[in-house]
Amino acid sequence: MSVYCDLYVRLDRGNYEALLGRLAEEGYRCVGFPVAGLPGEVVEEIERCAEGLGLTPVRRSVVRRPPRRCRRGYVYAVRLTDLRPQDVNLAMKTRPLILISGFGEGEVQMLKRAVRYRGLLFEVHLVDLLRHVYSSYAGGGRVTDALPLLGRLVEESRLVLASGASEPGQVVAPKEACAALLGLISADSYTEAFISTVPAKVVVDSL
Amino acid sequence: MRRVRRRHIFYEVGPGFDLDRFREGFEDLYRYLFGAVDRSLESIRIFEKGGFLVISVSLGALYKAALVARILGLFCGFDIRFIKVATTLKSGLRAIEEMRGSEKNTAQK
Repeated sequence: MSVYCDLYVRLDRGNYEALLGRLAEEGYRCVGFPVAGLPGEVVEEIERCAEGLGLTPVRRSVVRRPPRRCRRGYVYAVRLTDLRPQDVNLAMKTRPLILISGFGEGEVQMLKRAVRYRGLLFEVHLVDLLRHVYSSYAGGGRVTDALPLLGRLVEESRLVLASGASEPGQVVAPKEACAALLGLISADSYTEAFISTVPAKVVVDSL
Repeated sequence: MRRVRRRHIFYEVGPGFDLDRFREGFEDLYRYLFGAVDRSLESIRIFEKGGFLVISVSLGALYKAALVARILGLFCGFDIRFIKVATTLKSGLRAIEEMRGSEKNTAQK
């Protein structure tokens, strides 16, 4: 059975009830949310609300360097632009997600280098990726060169897809999210692997 | 003649949904992303049926169509919500009806 997991949803005091309700409606079973900047009582409220809706909450933490030890219940991520060559070995051991935070020339160059390390798992936020595509269309520019690299990551089951939603309208059904990404990388075969099993594995490891 | 395997993508639409504007935006964005020579666009049919937006598409262009529709939904103000993909129009409508029926029953319980 697939465990649909949205590993990055931008929750805050104002939007968490609506967003979590929509995620549960769309069939997600696990939700990750960044805890930085949220007061402790709000984090607890969010977790209570998520559990009430049958969602397993996971705390997300975006750090500048791969952590030496991982706390239970947390999933760590390092931004691609923060990943230094000397940190790669540590990243392979503690396995934080490498967050693809942008799609500009600089990020593509770094992604090209980082993709070579087979032990690294990457994360991309669908809303950010689609926003980039739409703004290239609206501005008459080119779509990012990162797409073939994302295709390679999908083939190797090393890509974690999260919505990065900050309002209910941005929540995408799990199957639609997979389909949209596959459309972008022009893949032919359908795979749910990168939206279900990889996040589930990451989540199970962290719990 | 070669038979084209088709899929139907069903979306729930919000009030005031403008099908013509959606179709225009869809074709424009599709051409931008996949090129004017991509012939699958010619076979894509977009229409409303039973209160749902339906995109009927060949199997090869299924993901492309899903991508374009989602981008329009997110950034062009079209209130659409994915429901399911079905092989035929009839089976899709029936499945949605069954899905809605079972949801109602669960809510009543």
